[in-house]
Amino acid sequence: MLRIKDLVVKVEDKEILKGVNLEVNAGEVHAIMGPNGSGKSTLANVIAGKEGYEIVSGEIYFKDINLLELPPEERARLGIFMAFQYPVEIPGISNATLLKTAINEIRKARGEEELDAMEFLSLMREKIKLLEMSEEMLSRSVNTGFSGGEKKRNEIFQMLMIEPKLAVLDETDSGLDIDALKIVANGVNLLRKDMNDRAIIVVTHYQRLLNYIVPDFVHVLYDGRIVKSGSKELALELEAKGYDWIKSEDKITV
Amino acid sequence: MAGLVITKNKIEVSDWYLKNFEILEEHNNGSIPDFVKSLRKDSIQKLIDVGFPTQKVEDWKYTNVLPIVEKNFKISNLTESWKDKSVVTKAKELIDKDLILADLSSNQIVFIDGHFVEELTRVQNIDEIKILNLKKAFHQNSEKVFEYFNKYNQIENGFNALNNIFFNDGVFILIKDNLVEDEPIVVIYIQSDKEEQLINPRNLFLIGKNSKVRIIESYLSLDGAKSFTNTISEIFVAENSFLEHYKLQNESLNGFHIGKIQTHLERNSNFTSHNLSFGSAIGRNDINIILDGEGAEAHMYGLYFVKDKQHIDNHTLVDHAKPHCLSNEFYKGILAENSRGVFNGKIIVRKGAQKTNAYQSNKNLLLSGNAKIDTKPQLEIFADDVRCTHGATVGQVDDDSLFYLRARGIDEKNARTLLVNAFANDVLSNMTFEPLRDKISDFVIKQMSDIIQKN
Repeated sequence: MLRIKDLVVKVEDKEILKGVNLEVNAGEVHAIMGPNGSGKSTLANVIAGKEGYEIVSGEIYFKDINLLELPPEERARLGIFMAFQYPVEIPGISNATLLKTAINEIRKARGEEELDAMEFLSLMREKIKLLEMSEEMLSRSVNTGFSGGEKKRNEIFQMLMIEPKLAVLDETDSGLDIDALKIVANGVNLLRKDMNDRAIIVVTHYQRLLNYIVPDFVHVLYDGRIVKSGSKELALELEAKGYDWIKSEDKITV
Repeated sequence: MAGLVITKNKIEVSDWYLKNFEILEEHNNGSIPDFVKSLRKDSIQKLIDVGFPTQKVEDWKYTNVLPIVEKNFKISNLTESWKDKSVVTKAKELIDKDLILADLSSNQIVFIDGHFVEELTRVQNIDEIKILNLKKAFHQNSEKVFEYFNKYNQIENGFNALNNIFFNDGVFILIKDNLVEDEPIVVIYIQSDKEEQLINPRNLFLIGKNSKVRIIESYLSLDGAKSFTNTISEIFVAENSFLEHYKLQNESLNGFHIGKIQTHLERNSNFTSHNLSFGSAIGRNDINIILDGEGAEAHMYGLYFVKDKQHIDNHTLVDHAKPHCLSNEFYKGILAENSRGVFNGKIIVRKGAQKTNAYQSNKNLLLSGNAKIDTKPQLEIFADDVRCTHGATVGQVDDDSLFYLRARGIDEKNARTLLVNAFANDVLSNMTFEPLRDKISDFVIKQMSDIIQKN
């Protein structure tokens, strides 16, 4: 579903990703772990299509479509969704307006009929309950005045509304207390119920979230490269030994 | 066009206006009240004395009026375009189809090129509300008109004098005491595309005690109009009354607009001004408010959205003459392409006007690297127990917000439009007349789409 090959990315002349290789198939949940500054968020942003990154070399293919040639909105319409590490506050645009516009643009691009106001409202009501958020939030401005936890829950709410093919969760666990973490993980696991044509990438610093969203594969990103890949046990090992373990092994692993 | 004489602070008035004044004197002989005749005589002398402002005059520092004053506009008092059947038909179509004005109210009074047009006007005059054209009000010898006309209006520049000298007609609205009316009174000035005219609307709105009303003043023009609208509205709000006033300027980008609103507020009255500027090549608004009774409140909201080479200048002046008053100002500007904006908010707190609260904020969004805004607060405070805040910002569409929306599948153009509309709605949300608020919001979306299409 997603194939990243030898990806080298610079930000302001500094090489952040130094040759990343990753293959994610439909049905799989991958976790990408790594210390701060290893390039995790850069990888997520580059998949979503954020500007400001210089792609030096390498490729990203989604279902045989070259993603690097597409603007972010077209990637989203193909089914790629990034849950932001720092969701933006947008005063003056309601959550409902954002979602209605987004979903209808995605549907239009796929040649599907737009949802009418009633269908849309009932869909929103159904999904927002799953995240234990109040309906009143729908008419509030996007993330405006939301707590850190509310913002993250809102990201997952949007994800459930949009039902992406490939969900990239960028540090969705940061800033969440344990209750909020469980709610968010539940939301992700709902998406996981139907993985027929779907994959999930969980980007995280800590193993904590992976207790609730159990990955099929774990990769360790360190200094711009994936230096270790393994099963879910790798996450536990990392948690026990810390990233210093990777650092000391770094030279021999690559 | 004869060369104008320009000194440091003054552009001398051209012979053109002096000559037209003489023609008008003969033309009008006998048909206007004596006090107007003497106002005109005084004002022509004043015009000769003060001329028009150069950019050396502080209040006009960023606005060059030379393109306006160097032109010899036809004085609209002497033109007959308003009688032209095709012009009237086009004006009617314009109102009926206008994105903002169509179906707004059952009360509308219409002028074409400054002349009252009865066939497009539909007002219900009841005992509590009088809506007349000014000429008729003069004719009826209304005591109130004589008492309040030009009462607080001072000639601050040549344009004010020009209006005193050449105003032809306008609207007189008299609201009696104890009247609450939701339905707004809509005043519509349409400038035609016939000849290049100077049009001087002159309005007088008197709101009695304990009343609550809405007045919408709107200025628009037929395609291609190249006129110069120079308007003065005088407003009086008596004790315990609420007036929500909307000024909507959406004239042709080939025309000019200079407008002054002189407002006088009595005890515990509440004046809310919504000043919306979208049109004209050069536009200037002066909104002067005197808080002249304890407990009076002035709320000033403004939105300007300009493009092309438009220049829009908003000057407001709030004079806290009495204690325990509140003024709150919130202006937002969207500037596209090569447009330029000026905001100047002056607050005076007089000696003895204790417990004054005065707030001011001006926020601007530049949609292009060539757009520019000059924004300035001006505070003159002579009392010591005063709470006064002000702030201004200038920025661009936020890249992170734009990416966020695009990452959700929203087209870049639509995302930009949504963000610009959100910026505008922040100030439009203060409008209590919802049909107008929604229409202005739609207008902002349309304006934004047009700009994106073009660029």
